[in-house]
Amino acid sequence: MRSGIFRCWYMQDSQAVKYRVKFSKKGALRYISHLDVMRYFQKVIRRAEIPVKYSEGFSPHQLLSFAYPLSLGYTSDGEYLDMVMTERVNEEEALRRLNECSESGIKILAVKELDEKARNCMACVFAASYNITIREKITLPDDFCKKVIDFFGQETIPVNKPKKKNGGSVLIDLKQYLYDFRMIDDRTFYICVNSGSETNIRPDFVAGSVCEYCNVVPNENPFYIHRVEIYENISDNENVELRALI
Amino acid sequence: MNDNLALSDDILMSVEKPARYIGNEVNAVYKDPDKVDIRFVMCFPDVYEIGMSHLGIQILYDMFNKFEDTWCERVYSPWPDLDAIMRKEKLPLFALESQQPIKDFDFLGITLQYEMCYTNILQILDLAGIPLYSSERTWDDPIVFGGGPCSYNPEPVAEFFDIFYIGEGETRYREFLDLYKKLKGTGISRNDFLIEASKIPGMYVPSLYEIKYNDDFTIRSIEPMHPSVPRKITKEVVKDLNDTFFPTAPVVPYLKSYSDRINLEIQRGCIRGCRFCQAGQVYRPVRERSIDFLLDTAVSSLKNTGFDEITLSSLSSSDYSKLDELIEGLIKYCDENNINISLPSLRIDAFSLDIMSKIQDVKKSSLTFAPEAGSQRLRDIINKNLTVQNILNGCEQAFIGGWNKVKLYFMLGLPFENDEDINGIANLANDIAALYYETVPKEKRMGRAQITVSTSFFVPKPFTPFQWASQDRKEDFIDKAYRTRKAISGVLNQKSIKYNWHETDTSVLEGVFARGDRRLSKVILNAYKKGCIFDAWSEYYKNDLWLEAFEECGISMDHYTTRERPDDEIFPWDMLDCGVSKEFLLREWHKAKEGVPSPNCKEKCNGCGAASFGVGICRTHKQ
Ligand code: SF4
Repeated sequence: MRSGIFRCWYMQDSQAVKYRVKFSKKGALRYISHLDVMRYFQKVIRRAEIPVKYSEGFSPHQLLSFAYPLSLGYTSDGEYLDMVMTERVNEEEALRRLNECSESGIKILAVKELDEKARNCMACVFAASYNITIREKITLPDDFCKKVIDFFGQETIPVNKPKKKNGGSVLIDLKQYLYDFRMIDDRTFYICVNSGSETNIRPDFVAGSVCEYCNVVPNENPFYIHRVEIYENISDNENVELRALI
Repeated sequence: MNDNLALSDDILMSVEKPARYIGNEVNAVYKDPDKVDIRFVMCFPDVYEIGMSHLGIQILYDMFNKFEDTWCERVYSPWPDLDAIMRKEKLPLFALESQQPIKDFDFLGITLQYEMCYTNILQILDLAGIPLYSSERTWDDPIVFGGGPCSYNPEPVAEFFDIFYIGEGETRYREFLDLYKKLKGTGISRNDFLIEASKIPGMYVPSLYEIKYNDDFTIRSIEPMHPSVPRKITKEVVKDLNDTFFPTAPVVPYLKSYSDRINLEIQRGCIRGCRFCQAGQVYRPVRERSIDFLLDTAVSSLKNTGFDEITLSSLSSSDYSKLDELIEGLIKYCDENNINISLPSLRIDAFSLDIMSKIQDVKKSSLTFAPEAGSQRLRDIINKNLTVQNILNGCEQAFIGGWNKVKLYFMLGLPFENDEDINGIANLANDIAALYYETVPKEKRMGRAQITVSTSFFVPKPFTPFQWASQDRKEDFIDKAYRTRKAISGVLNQKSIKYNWHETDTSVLEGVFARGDRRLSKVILNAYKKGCIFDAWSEYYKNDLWLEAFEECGISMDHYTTRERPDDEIFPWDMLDCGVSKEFLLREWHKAKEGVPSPNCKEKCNGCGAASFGVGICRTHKQ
């Protein structure tokens, strides 16, 4: 029962093609949880009548995978998901259809066919970059900018990173997981940090460490965080060479 | 898209599930406030995820927004976490779409789906800054409408509402809005406007009726206070369900709602006439929607929402005359598009089992029966036309087909119930389990039979033959639940049977409100002031505060619950007419006492009175 218009942009030759979709999440929709975003996309894809592949069985589900959950309240210009389609599609057309069926708070930025052997986006995630803003309600010292620059400029940046489970913390050198930093304005700085499954440096943790260093007390809901991009590491040696997922 | 949210980021980040308050859902309707004449806000006085699952509001939302001069928005009860913040920071309650205060709207429509939401109504009014009592409102406040099943006896909350719309909402709102546009701003008083409104069929304006009581607090008289106000308000009925409003693009929530799927109402009303069931009386007569209408609506609403499931809703799906044809059509579309179909309220027989095996995973799904009472004697009394043989036959076929889970629903506290009925519940569950072990050879069994018995406590409802009946006390309820549990633990196959029962305190309060009168408004207000809200949520229900509230107001709960009413008692809801006559209900009450069942509308017309609407099944009988 798929519409005829859509048929014409299928190319008939191949089966099960992988695509990567990049999207942004902004405005009011930043209050939607990761789980809700996943359910949201299932519906967008249905409305757009994209030929996504389904699992077998009584309650078939779409073969989708999301790169890296975004915390509720963050905005982003660099979210990713992979989907398997039953046939090859025109990327431009798919992009247009998806946007037509999405609320403007979640905008599809790119659709790209993947190589058959490409790792899925979740496995690719190596680093992510963020703009972190300290909210106006928090009073900052006059030399805040300078101090932030000092903090990130240290030879080593010793910080106590909370452990995932059973509380406690472990002392790490943040510097080793920091790939980029710059000041954006008086209250906002940009960082690019490791987001691999083992280390995973959370941006709010970095912001908290900055505040501690600058003697700023972060009370409730102190930061506004915007994810800029997600990267994979394409270096084939010990070095790190970052490339955006699309 | 409206990114101008009423709540600050700090607030949204501090409450549970902020997505409840941001609107902006797919298919939500946005209009330019300068280009409409009427601002309406529809309210379901419970949390967002529950309210968003409700079909009635979806239908009215769609209808109002089809009117070019009207913008209809939605509001739900702020959860207690946000409630506390809004009170502390004095934030006015706002509508989801425009995020503007609902105090500035023309209308606030509140649906009354269950009695336990009454304090939430006060929460809504209070947070909105609308005076709680209708008598204290001015033209600066919205007109507050009530509707939905509890408006068939709205008396306990009558003083908080300006108008109740009695019956199906699709028919008279247009006429009403036109009257409003004509009169508002002409200098007419709000009260005179309400008098005019009361002349529109289906509109019940409670402040225009005087209720007089006898010394024992039964009702002596109900009198309209103005000559042009009707003595009786007859419910509104949609004549043709294929030619009316029904959403093909319902709003799609971001949060997982309780019904995360398309809800397709295949028919309205029920032919069965179970004597405890209010829906079965007040939605008469049965009217079916056509196959074409349903298939078209199903396909377009699935396409427009992207839901992956559709459920057919009705009081008794098996009674839909062309069910096989409908399901065949649906299965075809849904299979091609990876959509699940769910079919609640199906009678279990060869036909339904065949369908179920096509659309569900037999290993995971369960069979549901609602015998409601444990013996044939009591089932005849309540007019529940389901025999042990029906159930066992259905189960046998199902067990052969691979099912091993059975759910059984019963009520405790039905009129004329005795020990045998309670034992009957345990015995039936036991017989079903035994049948499983007889029918399915050991090597083919998927583990034990899993029989789940659930009981709820019977609450007599207005406009049912049991409206005269006495309701059990709390102690009786508890005692009966214990006896049921004991009986179940005494049967041979008890290991295969699980027993659940519902709470008792809320059943008592529900019973008070179900058949309550206007004197109860002060109790509800009192309880609300003490801090009762979200009474339907056991974690928020505060029974002691309710008891205090009754005590302080000098009102006895027993007056409403345990008292059997004499045949000629005037009921608080006697100004309303749901089409089914009081004489018919009384006849049924007497037949119940004699243990005599009645035929259903398809077998034979019982002359209930609903034929006066001239629609649906009653017309078939005439021809
Ligand atoms: S009038 Fe007869 S057919 Fe119509 S609803 Fe009543 S009992 Fe049923």
